[in-house]
Amino acid sequence: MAKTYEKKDWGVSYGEMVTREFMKNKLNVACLVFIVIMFTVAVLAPFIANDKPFIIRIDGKMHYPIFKDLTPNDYSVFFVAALGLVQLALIRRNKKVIEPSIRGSVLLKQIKINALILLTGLILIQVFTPRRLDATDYKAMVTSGKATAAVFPPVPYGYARTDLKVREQPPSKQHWLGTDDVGSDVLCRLIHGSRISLSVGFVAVGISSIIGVFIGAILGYFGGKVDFIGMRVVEIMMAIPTFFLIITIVAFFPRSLLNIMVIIGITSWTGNARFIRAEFFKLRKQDFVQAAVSLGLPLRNILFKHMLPNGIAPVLVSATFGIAGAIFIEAALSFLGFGVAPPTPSWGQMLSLGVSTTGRFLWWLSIFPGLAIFFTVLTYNLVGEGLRDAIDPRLRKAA
Amino acid sequence: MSDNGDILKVNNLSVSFFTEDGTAKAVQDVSFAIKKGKTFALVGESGCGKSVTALSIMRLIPTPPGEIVNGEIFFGPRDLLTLNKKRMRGIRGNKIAMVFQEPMTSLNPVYTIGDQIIEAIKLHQTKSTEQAWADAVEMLRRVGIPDPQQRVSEYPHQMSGGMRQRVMIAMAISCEPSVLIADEPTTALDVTIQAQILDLLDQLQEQNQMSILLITHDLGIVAERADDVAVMYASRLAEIADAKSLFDDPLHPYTQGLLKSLPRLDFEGKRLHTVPGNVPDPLHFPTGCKFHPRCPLGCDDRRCQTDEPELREVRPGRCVACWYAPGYGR
Amino acid sequence: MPNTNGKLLRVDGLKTYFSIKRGLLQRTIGHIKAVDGISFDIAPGQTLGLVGESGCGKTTAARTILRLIPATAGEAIFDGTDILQADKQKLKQIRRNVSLIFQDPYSSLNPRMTVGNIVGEALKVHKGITGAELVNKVKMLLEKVGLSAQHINRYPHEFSGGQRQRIGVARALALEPKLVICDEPVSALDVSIQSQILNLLKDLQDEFGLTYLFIAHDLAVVKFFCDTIAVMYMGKIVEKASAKQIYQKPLHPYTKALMAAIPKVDPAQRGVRKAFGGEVPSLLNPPTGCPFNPRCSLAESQCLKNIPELTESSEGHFVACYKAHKKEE
Repeated sequence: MAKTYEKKDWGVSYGEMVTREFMKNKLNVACLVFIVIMFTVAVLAPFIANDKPFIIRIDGKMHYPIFKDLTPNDYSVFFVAALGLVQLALIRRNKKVIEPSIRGSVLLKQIKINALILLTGLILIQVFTPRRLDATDYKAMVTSGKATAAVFPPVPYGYARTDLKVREQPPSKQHWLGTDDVGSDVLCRLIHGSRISLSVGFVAVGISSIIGVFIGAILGYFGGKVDFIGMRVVEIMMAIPTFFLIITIVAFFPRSLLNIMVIIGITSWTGNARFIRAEFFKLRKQDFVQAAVSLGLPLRNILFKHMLPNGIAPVLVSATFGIAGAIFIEAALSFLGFGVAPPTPSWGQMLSLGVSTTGRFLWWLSIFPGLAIFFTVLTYNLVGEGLRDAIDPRLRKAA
Repeated sequence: MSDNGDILKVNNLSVSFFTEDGTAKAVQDVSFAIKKGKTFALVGESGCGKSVTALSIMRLIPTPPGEIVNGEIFFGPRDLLTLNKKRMRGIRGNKIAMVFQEPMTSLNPVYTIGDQIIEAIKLHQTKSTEQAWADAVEMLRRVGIPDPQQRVSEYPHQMSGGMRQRVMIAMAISCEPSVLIADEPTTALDVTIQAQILDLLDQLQEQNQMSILLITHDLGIVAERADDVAVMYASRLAEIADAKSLFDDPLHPYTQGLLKSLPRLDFEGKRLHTVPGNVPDPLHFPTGCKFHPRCPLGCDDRRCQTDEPELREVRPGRCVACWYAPGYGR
Repeated sequence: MPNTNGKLLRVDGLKTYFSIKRGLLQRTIGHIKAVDGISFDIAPGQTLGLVGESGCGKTTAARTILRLIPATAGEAIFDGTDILQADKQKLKQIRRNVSLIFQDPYSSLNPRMTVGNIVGEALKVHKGITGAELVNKVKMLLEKVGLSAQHINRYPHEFSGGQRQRIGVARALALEPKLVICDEPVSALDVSIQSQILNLLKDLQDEFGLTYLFIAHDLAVVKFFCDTIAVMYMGKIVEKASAKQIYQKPLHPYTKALMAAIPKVDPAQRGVRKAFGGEVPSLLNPPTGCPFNPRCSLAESQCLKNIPELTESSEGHFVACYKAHKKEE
């Protein structure tokens, strides 16, 4: 539809109402701020904690090792984050500039274009970024006087760099949160570990939401025999304790980050499937869906324009809780030694180092990663709670 | 206060709901009196404040967001609004009882009919369980439920809508209240069942000399059952009269419009008379007389647009709030 | 339309049964006969009223005709094609020509879509109208049903019940259908709004030559609105005649009871209305013989054994009652 009427005639969409309701609660806003900070830290991790300096002068020549050292994965993260920001900015702009009637189709177009850019961008980055390993010890150069001036990141340690001279040291001026069993800086590993946690959280939940919504929608819309058989499968899945299933599967596959994300994703979709199925059951009988059917609209429109937007709310809430859950599962897996392989930093694995091989209790290795896990999981749970209340104001008022 | 046989008297009642979107003045300056043993009907459309008025009498307004901001409700010599919670509980359900619109949701599905009636009885009277059980059976018989002995131990879902409404009435009258507030008691029921329920109410009224505050949107029911009628529009009373004069000679343009717009069985025309416009939303009431945007008389009148007419007695027993009503005085 | 005799819709022996399933294997143990062999037809430009109390099957019948609920037996011939047997392509064609107006203006509009999208979606899908043309078409429709064109970018929650019902009417009219099924279109509305919507529907009928299947429980509304009235009771049509005939000379005791149950808006006639005993029996456990016999004062042995057929009692006046015919003789 083309532009027609003035802004004053624009209605307030459900999404805007929920956002408004959500933002009214100070705690929710605080949690969002925390999440934004976490994201910033995770995205910019190589610039915050790195043993390579931004600038260094060696033999009178300027070098920029930190930028040369960035891996394809780092570039991918920056790229994804930038596209995400663009998408958010577009949504904000759309709300002001584009009239409600065509907002949906415009947004869909933008998402399609962005997804295309994302995919090609990621492939290009992965193929064309040079993979180099710069093992030069720049700090040694500075101390030995080979380099004259250098600007290091705030936490001047690499997460993979070991230094057995300073192993298992409590917090100090040099190592603010201490060091671990191989002498890596705990703060640095925490910062880089946030990347693992967040990506596990989001990707695993993304996978489980997509599978869950898809299966739940089919079961809920068609019902009957499809639903009967489908639900039995879902029930069988639910009867198996997820965590043990994950451990069993993990034992058979290489311990890469991607595998863990996928495994958590494909084992935790049952809840979402049940939510969506229940919603679709209810919605299928609603008059506006019957109206859509009676107008002869195609199944695609009925499912995705009429039913899904009305049934997605509980999935959004459960996805937020799911992120917390996935972070927790990843931490637990790593704690037990089934997680990502060292030297990739992971909060759970750091936690497991709290009791050293000599039997000494290294409190800083338990407390700090523990707190990081605790606050992250708590924040996502609070956001989920806030979202649920915002979606259903009656629930909030009754409580 | 109960000088002339009035059992319940509402004076200048105002109720507001303070919501995030603004203050909704749900009831403004409403006054009326219910006579002993008579049926007083409060008619109006959705959102006009008729149910809120009923809930205020029962002191059941959810606070917050609602609040009774002004007024008195005299039940005999007592102002219900000044009673403490404990004494109010003694009156609610005992002296003043209420029947709700939805017979499907007003009963608790996990208890038998008998359990729920007994609970109501034992709350206000000291009786043994056996006695209360016998009372419950008797109540069900009185409201015309066949095989009460057997029905008393059934669950709500085993009964039809009409039967459930009978059970609700049985619960409401179990303590022989002097005022029964019936909030749209037949709206959810089929026409043939409606008449049965209204007959039942009539019959119980005769037996107990009970006053009924009948809240409804259906003018047909009002014409058939009410002694006195108050028409409510957008939080205020538009008109009070006895039923006969109201239907013979409605004074307020809103009442006139409503009566004319009803499709009747003997109506032969091609088009119905309509009241134009929409029912106003309590958060955005028009200024002046709240009916003026829909009024055939006052839509262009400056006075109606700015000054809200109050309810005045224009002749004995007839009160109206309209600048155009004969005898109102402009 | 060779086999429909100039009728737009002809429903013949329509049955909709719901099976009652129990147990782990969901075995069918019985049927609820929601619609049990009803037949009627509507000529173009006419209005047929289907009246009855809740649970009599009138809504189920309407939805079966639109294939929103699968039919058990019978046919519904619209414009020469049997809706109940139509393949996907034909069904799509039929659904462009038959639309539905719902009772509840609150649940019948998708809360996540703007008014413009609700009204315009079918136009976009079926007719491929987009852009400015679509906007103009939607604006025109909104104005036609008495809304402002500015409302195009609003959401349903920003409207009152009557306005929402108008949106529903606009949606139903978007594809310029031949037949509009109105399922209790005014019973959820305020009194002062009901007459507005009824007048609107009448005006639209005159303007576009619409044919209506009008479902309601209120005989007074149906009598005003319809040319022909069919009274339903427990899944069957018990009486069918022109509105005038039914009003002047109702034959079936149930129709009489329904008429008598309408409150008279006149205190002078107080007491005229007599309450009518009994309740609608459960469809799970219907009485044998005439379904109305438990409530009927005229019932005799024949009524308890056999189910009366719908037969013509006088010109165009059909009734399914043994006693009604006898009185005629």
